[in-house]
Amino acid sequence: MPPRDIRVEFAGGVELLFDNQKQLDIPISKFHDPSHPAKENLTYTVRDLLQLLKDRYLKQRLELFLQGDNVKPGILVVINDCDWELMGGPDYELEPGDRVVFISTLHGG
Amino acid sequence: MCQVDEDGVDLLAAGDGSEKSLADRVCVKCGEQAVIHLRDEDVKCGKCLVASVNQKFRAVLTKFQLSRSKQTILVAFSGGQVSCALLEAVREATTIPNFSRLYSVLYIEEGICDGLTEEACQKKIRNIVGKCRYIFPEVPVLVSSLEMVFAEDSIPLSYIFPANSTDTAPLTGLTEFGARFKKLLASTKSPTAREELRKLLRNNLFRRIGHQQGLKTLFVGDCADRLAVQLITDTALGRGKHLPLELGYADTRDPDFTIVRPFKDVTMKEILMYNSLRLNENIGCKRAPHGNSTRSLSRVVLVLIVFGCERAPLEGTMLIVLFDGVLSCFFGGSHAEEPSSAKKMNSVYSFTETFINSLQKDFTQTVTTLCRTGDKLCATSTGQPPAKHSIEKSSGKLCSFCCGPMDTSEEDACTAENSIALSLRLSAALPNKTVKASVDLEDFASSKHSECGSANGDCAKANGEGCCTSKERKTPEKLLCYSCRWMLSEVGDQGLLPERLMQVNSQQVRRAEMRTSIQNFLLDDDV
Repeated sequence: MPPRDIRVEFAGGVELLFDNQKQLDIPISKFHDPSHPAKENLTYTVRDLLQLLKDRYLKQRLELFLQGDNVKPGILVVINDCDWELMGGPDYELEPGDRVVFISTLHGG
Repeated sequence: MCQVDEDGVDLLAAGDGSEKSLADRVCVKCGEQAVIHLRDEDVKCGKCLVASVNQKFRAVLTKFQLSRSKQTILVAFSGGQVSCALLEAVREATTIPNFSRLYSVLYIEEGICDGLTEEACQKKIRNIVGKCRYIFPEVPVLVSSLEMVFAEDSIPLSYIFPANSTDTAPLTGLTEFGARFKKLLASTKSPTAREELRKLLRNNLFRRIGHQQGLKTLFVGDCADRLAVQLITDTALGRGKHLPLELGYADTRDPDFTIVRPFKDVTMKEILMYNSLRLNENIGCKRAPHGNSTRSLSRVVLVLIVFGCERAPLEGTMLIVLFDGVLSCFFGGSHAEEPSSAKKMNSVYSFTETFINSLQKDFTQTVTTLCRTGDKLCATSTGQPPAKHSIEKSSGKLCSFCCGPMDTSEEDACTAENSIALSLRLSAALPNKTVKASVDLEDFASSKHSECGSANGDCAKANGEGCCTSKERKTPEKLLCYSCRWMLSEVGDQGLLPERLMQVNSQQVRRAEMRTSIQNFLLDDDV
């Protein structure tokens, strides 16, 4: 059975903002926002993922993870072992089974 | 007002499409699918990235003729990302016959300064040593802790050889010196000074361990991003004259102990991807099996530690992972996130880091431009260790704390710095005199008066119990560079500083005094 979740991993210190969780498996269904009608084509981007992480998973210090609606400069995002800048950045359309890793480069480590 | 008609929308959409075409980029070197975007047109595949990082590392070995030297090299290891990448590059280099040589890993535990208990420190040490073993199983590890800088004679070290288990022999004296260290840090007024002090003491410890072990080279994991931040920080702190030493490939301020930065030209992003590709099985480890490293279950678990919870062995504490040349901190646990504590932690370095990172986001050349600027500043001294003779000759002109070149003005020069010093001396002396008493400015300007204002230069000599005695005794600031003077002024209780550091200082004063007294009998250097 093919994986239906988006796997999100945190490293380099970002996990501390998520209650020390280093890995999250987020079902696509969680992306549905009840306040908004579901998207027609049911595609979700990394931007949506960031919003979801912010709303439901981020435990503290929002400013250490996000700046505006983008990730804070200094946090590297790797999608499926590839730099997200090569994947379209926040506009990358997530697919079930994708793996998104957030690694902080801030303050060494 | 701008109006976008339907055609315009099409054009915008087309623009988005062209940006997305970055996804189709192939490696500029081999044409494989790219995995990292470095800057502008520079994209690389994983294989070329790993090769390039290893290549840069070996280039530094060659540059400093370290590849042929027989001597063991110390590799500073903090367990952080850059350290891990550095150790992996070292291991990789040892597999190549021309670059094969002996290495020892040096880990300095600094948890006690952050309020960790001795038990937690030992746990951390075990974690770090485990990490080290995972990356480079055959390497011996030396473990010490920062408070050992208080040790009078030899620095206590724990040796952990590959055959040993990762259980370390507990370091003695942790509690003995730890309390003093905590007091010293607590008495320091600002976070910036605290960082500078720790850096100073750490470098001092590096040098002492190097001398003790008879080793002359230490690798540290300073990468391009950090050096860019360091460039601005040092400038802000008045360390301009030290920039060539702080930013270059090699820090040669001690002719017998060189600190080398093999990753000077490698960016943090490259390092993270390198780690992902080489070490972290979690993010798709492609690392080829090596040596006789039989992976036990514990090692597999350790992989998670490397990139995961390394900074969070304890909840509710501010963990500071040190090394790699700079202070690195992150808030640990869920209880340390008070805004006030965050404010307390802000230092010049962390502000600069935030600033550079924000700039880098919109101006992707920021770090590289800063590094190039740093290179230009280093151009005169990089790679050319000063001759021992020249160091000895100018020994009076080195800062006795950081061993960097002195950047302060000559005593009789007409500078703002000297004017402030004169003003300070006058202010200190005036309360002791009646208003009508005449003050001989010439006398003050000639620096005969000490800081406390006594006329003999040192009130301790005058009456035996002056304010310049014992713990309150002021360090002769003449022997310190501008930045160290500032740092020292931020230290509340200077008596808590390591005696050894202060002894060197007083020794230099005595020598300088002796030199002045016998000046007439000395032959001129020019003769």
